[in-house]
Amino acid sequence: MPELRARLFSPARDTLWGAFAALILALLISFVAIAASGRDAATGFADLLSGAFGGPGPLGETAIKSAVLVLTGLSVTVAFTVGLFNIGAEGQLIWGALAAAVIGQRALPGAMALSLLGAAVAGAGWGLLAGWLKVRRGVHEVISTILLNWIAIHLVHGWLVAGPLAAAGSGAMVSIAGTEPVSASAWLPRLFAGSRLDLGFPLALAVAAAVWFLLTRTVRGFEWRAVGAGRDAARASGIPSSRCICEGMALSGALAGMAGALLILGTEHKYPGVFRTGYGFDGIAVALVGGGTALGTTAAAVVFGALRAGATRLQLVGVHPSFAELTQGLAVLLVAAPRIFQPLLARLRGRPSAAASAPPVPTVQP
Amino acid sequence: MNALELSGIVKRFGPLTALDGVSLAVAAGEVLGLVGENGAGKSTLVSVACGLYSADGGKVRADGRELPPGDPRAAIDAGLGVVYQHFMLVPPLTVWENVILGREPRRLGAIDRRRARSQVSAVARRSGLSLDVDARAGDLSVAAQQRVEIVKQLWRGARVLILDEPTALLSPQEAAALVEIVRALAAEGRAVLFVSHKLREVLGAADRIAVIRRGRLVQVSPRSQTDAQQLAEAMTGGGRAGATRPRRPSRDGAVVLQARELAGLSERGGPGLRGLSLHVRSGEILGVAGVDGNGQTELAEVLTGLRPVQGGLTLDGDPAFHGDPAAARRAGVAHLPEDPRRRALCLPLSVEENLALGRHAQAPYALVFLIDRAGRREMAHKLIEQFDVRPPEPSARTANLSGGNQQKLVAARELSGGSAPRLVVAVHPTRGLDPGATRRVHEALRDARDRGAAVLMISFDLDELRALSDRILVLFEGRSAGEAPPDASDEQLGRMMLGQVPARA
Repeated sequence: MPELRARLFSPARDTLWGAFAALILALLISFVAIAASGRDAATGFADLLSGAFGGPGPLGETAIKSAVLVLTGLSVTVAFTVGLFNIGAEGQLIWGALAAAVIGQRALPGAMALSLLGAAVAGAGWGLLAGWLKVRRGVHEVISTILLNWIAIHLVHGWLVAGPLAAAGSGAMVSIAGTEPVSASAWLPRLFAGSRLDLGFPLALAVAAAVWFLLTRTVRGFEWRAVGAGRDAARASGIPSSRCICEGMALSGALAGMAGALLILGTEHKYPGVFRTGYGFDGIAVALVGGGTALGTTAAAVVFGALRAGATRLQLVGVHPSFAELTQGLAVLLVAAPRIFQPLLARLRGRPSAAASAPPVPTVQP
Repeated sequence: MNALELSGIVKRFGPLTALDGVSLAVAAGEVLGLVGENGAGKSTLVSVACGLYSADGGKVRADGRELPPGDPRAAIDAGLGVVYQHFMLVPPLTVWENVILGREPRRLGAIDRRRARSQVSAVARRSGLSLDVDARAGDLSVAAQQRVEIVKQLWRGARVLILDEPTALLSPQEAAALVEIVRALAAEGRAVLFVSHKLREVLGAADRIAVIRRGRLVQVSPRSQTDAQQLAEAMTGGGRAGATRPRRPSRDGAVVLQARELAGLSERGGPGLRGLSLHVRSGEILGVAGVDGNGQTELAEVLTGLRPVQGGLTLDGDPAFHGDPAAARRAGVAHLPEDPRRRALCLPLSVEENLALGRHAQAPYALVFLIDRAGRREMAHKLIEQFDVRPPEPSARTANLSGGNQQKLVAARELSGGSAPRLVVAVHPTRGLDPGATRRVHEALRDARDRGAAVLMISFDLDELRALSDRILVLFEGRSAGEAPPDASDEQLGRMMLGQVPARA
């Protein structure tokens, strides 16, 4: 498992071109798939492009979706930096969203900042729980984060939002009502007229820059990377590896929590009764395609955000909007598969298994 | 006719030519020694001979018949048996079960246990290999496990035995016993290829000795016409390897490390440490000998703060230095661990990042909480040059360095990366290294000593211990079996390693 994980997130030099090639190839395959189903693929793709980039409205949609993916992708990337595979961004996002909704209801001074902060803290707590279980009890983080996702979903959706935190007077409509609305003072301000682009996107980019700086330029970031790259060696050199893992998981959770806050404060304006976004799981795909680095993850998030935004337009030619997920899945497959099969291919070509010493080769040949 | 004949073997890995036209032959009843430095091509040649690799040129013949390239099955059927350095036994199974594994004699569809067991014990007896065939493989000593591997090959009908670094894990007595076994196998008409870089044992076992260097056969000579000195020169291509410079008389330095009655269990529930007392002075190298598993790993981990211990342990009078790895490092403990790829290096990180590891939060590697990239780069260039790390590229991925260069990297960091160490804990510091890299690591250890460090070096290599140590302490079952001067004989040390000599001060 650790070996597979390391291979999947390999920060090799080939990542950038490999990921780019994989994206192009994924789009090509999707194009062929649409054409093969008898629909007008060319028009569809034109619609896709205009839905993602055609004017301030579509650009705003792309930015909103990208912002959330930047944060959940970074969440997975940061956890990977300390050597953990965080499947739990979804659960952390849910707690962050709920915290933002609850804090945002009160018209406090600085409501928006407080809501964001609260969301980060809530997500961090949920992430830290998985980190703590890992270092204290040896619970594998993949198991614990998957379980924690379900615990979060059922606690929040099945009880808190339907019960104690439900909007007053919603009565029988409880399941779709959600919480009381967020006070307008906590909303993320829109930046331009004619677009839903809000403060979330620049905020996410600023956070991405900060994460990049932390991981690559600071002593603490170096310690995290050392723990992720070789926990025994890091421990032997005096780095407190357990503390680093807990810190990394807390930041990972905080980022996912903030992603939840962007959804609540930017578009939903309350915690809705039905709220299954999938952004937390998409964060895994984004981080994978992004090669486990802050910059790659940000770039991948923007591409997938555009895809999501554009896919809604595809409905006009009768293509289901889940088309975006098809392309996204293909891209992940094309990025991940060569990394998994590379050693096997190398062996078939008659090379010894010392593939580590071989020069990096491009992973995908479109 | 030759039992095994390799003619004109060429093997390339991408641009690298590992074997360049090597021709060798072993006759029945003969032991051929094959020596060479690490990376000279010994293992590759073995892999070609037994069909694991298919050669890019040349032929492999057994008893005059050509073997299909890259077909291990055909090699086994033709009577080739390989005993690898790392044994492949199933610990919970008995000796005879391990021997027949994969080729079980059957009767009515079930394993014919009685026949199998008696066959195995007959094979062992006939070749003079003492073995309890009903013992569990996991309970056996390393030497006995090796005998199981040999019996396995004999039972399968091997007429050509290839032993790959067979003495690497054995005590001197066990190695001597193995040499006897090898001679006996040849005497009953088998051909043996004895692959090793330990010249003494090869000289003891072989009738003829072949030397390969950089993939080429450079000489084949009868045992009577060569000696260790000449072989070493042939292996390295001139320049005497491991030239020792005269030992400085050990200063009467202050006691730096003082250990009294250390005790603690090992993870495996083995001996661990059971009342070990020792001291190391400033400016002194204490060599620690012993058969693997007698407390060496535990001792190294205790001294570097990785493992808690009971008993009195002080460094320069400070009893708290071994509380955790960070504290040990602050107190001036440098560590060249047993398994540097796991214990000392973060392989996915760059060379310069690994050079900074452990001191990464201090100058010149850091400015307050930020990484000082320029300072780190400058220091990395200096260390890389000083220790001849190749490639000399601070941003290279550490995983892409050869094992020898990774070890040099660790030595550079631990011994020269910051302020002079007070205590150096070196565990098999040159295992697997070629003579050039070995020399450099030895020089670095001597330099550390000359600068006043106390050096504790754990090694299985008695020659290395003798060359470097001021005193040699022998570990046996977690305590000291006594000390010996650096000119002690193999036999004297070997007896102590087996616990046969009462401790003397």
